Amino acid sequence: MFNGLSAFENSLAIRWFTPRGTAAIQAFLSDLAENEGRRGAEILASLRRRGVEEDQLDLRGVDFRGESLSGIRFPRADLSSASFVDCDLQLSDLSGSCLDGARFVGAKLRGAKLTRASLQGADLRNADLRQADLSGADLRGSLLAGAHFDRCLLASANLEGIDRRCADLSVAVWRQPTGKVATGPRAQLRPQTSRPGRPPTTEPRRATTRRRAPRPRPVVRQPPAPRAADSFDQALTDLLTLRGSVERIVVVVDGVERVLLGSVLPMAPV
Amino acid sequence: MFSSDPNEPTVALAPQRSSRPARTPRFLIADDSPEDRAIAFFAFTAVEELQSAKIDFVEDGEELLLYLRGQGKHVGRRKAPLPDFVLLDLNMPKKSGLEALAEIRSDAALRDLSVVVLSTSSSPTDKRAIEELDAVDFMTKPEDFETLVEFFRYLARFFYDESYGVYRV
Repeated sequence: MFNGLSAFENSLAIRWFTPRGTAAIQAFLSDLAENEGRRGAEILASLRRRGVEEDQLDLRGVDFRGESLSGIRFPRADLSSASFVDCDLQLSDLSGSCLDGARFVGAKLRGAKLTRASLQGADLRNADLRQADLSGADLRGSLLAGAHFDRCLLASANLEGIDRRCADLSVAVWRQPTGKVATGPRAQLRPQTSRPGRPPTTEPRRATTRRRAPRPRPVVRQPPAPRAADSFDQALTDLLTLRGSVERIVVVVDGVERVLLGSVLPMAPV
Repeated sequence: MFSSDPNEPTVALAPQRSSRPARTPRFLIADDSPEDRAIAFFAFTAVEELQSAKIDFVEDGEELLLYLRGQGKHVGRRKAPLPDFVLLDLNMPKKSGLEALAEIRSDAALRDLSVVVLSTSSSPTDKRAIEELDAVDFMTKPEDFETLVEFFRYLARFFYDESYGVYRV
């Protein structure tokens, strides 16, 4: 109703703007940072409204605009129509969340985990999705103009109804990083650079006697020589891809240690 | 660091913002007490961000429904959009706030309205009934003027974001 919000979205969103709603959100964010949101249900109980599942936190229409939520892990929550405009969500874990109609305009989602997230009708314009994991995500009808998809994992993502001309999806990764073809329903859209698959055939394959292929000679592979990263950005990019197995990244710049992972410390240009 | 990245999107990351409001926020206050209506009006005008807001008043539950449906003496209301926010008193003549809220929730055209119940009553039965009727919030009528101003200031942030100085995008 207001500025493009439907009356329903309007009524879900405005509850976070009362003194009680504002206090609840501040308490929830502190709990999220300190206790991984264990007290979330208790904190948000009074603001819960009908229409969400029993075991889900009702965060529909919440406004996290401009908040720094990097590295945060959301519990099972309904975040549909939530606003993450200009939000820092780098390396955050939103996998499996309901984010239908959520607004991520200009949000930093670099390295974020959004596997199997429902993002139907979400507004991801100008969002930074570099290296984000969107495998199995439902992006039907979402707005992607200006979003940056460099090395974003889109295996099995549903991209029905999106305007491909608005977003450069050719730089995204369309298969699982193991090289194995993604299981489950294939992505609806594939980049033009991808190799066309075998045309479907209805004829049954003839039984043929196959000649056994000669056993390949064992090849002794030398481990790749460790190479220095070309740039600081490249080093950081390499490290971000290992985020699952790295707990802490410390960078020493001019003898000063700076913690990168799990921190929101601003970096000086190198 | 990130700004030096050649892969940085060429489109500006900041959302497009306009220095002009998309349209005027509209509020409706349903209260039978003329003093309380006057206090609410002055509290609204005390909030700088709501200077352009349009405020209407109704005096009882029956008139509230007529206003929302654009009937009776409010037939001209149909030309204007529904209010973004309704502030509802519980104890009103003709039709109480609870009865009016129950009718709003059962009307398909009105059921999604944002309603805050403002009342002198603090009975648990009323609170439970209000929760069941999906009111946005429930608050007892503040005794001092400043608390009411503060409440409206909180709400104003929904329509007018102080940190950007512009209306919501």
